[in-house]
Amino acid sequence: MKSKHYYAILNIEPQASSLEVLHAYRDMKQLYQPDSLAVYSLYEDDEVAILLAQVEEAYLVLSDADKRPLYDIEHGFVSSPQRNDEADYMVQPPPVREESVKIIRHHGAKPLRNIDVPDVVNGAVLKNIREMQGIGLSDIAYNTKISMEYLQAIEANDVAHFPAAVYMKSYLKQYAESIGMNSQLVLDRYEALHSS
Amino acid sequence: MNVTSKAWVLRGGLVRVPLIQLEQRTSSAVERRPYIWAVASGKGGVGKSFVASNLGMALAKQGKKVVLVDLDLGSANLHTCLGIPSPKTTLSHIIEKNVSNMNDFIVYGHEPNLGLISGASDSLHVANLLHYQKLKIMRNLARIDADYIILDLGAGTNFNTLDFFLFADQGLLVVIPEPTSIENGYRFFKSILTRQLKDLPAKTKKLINQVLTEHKNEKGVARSFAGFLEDMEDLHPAHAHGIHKVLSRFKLNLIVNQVIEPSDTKLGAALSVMFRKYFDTPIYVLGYLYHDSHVLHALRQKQAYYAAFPQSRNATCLERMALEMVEQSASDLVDTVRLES
Repeated sequence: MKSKHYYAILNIEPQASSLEVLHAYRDMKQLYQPDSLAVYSLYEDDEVAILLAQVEEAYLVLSDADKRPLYDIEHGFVSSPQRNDEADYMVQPPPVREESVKIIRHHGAKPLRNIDVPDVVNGAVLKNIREMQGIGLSDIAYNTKISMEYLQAIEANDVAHFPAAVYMKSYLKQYAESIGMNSQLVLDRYEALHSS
Repeated sequence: MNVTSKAWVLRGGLVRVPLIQLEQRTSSAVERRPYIWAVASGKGGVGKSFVASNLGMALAKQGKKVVLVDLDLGSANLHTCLGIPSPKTTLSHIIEKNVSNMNDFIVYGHEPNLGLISGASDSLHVANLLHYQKLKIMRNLARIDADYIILDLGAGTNFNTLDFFLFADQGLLVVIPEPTSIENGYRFFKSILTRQLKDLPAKTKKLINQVLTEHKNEKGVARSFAGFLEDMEDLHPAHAHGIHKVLSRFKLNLIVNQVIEPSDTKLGAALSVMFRKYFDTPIYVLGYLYHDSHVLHALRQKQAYYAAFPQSRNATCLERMALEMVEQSASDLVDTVRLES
């Protein structure tokens, strides 16, 4: 059905830029609010809820730079080359420079690669891997909400600093994930070092 | 005779052909046909007469020859909006007598370009026009010597109102930011749709009923008219084409009146989206008018608002809308010529 495709739901053309998608999403969400006059008497409340869910679903796909081209191909829409991309520069992040890496990490960007866990894992190794990726300890603290004190204790191999072993395990796992490592492997090898 | 595309055959066999078609095809013996706008709302008290009279005023100020026709029969008051207390001649004279020239029945106020055919009447039967009387008015409307005719229709969805709305070249729906007005506005348009689809062939109507009963509420969302059209396209493409053809005749416009909150100014755009989504019909947002207590002042002084407060922001809005109306009328006629050739 042609009216069921995501572009129709958001009331935009398939060539719409990502900025237009965003605006359309806001407008349609506004339109389907419970107190919206424009839908009054056309739809019941539960029907409006369904329409709103459709808008959310459409936005989730169309706002995603990876999912949208796939959706376009699947449903036979013209994809990116003809899109109104001149407006897009407004929503694109600024070009990444070395010194801005830390700032970007601050906002929850995950490390891109899966880093191999070395055979020997200790605080110094972890610190080294973290610094190689340009991730600050404060970035991890910001993202995981773990206090700096315990993060520093992990890197200093100061296991006794934790009130109980279970805290150390949990914090270490989150730390490992933050720097793109397999958390279970890191935990096993870190513990093995300290129990021996 | 090659009367195509834009010649509308109305009930009773009346054929309407826009001005330029006539001019092109026939000799100068044929009179100029005015371009007709109909103002309707569904709900009463939203300012139809206010909008009609003041848009007429704004058009007249731009040098257009305008005639307002008060078709709110039984409760006509357009003359009061224009400051013409007791018009000498009214529609009931035209209905009752054998009229050869409707132009003699136009009354004028202060504005020389703006005439009025009043609906005020002593007759108590005037609200219930008979079929032949309706046709008589329609026939005579097309002969009025003017650039624009604005029909001020009554509230509600009775057949006379619907037929006059469908008779006009452009329909103008007035709503105010209130649930009741929106509800009745939608109701009015649904009635218009039903009335219009009545003219379809019997077989198409039968199929419409079939599709409507067989394909109900598959996904929990109420069947919109647009959804029904899609079903028709899938199942009976030929008949769906007929329906689309009928629907494409609509030239709908919208004015949001009595805007108070800043967010009310967005209502027009939201309604236009809903018209497209629910009815698969475009509606053009002509603009909005602010709530203004001076409207009442003007009425009490028995003056037209636009004339009394030419510096108000609503006057600016009205002028802009009048310009839009001129533009739309012109492009409609140009389209007609293009279709013809």
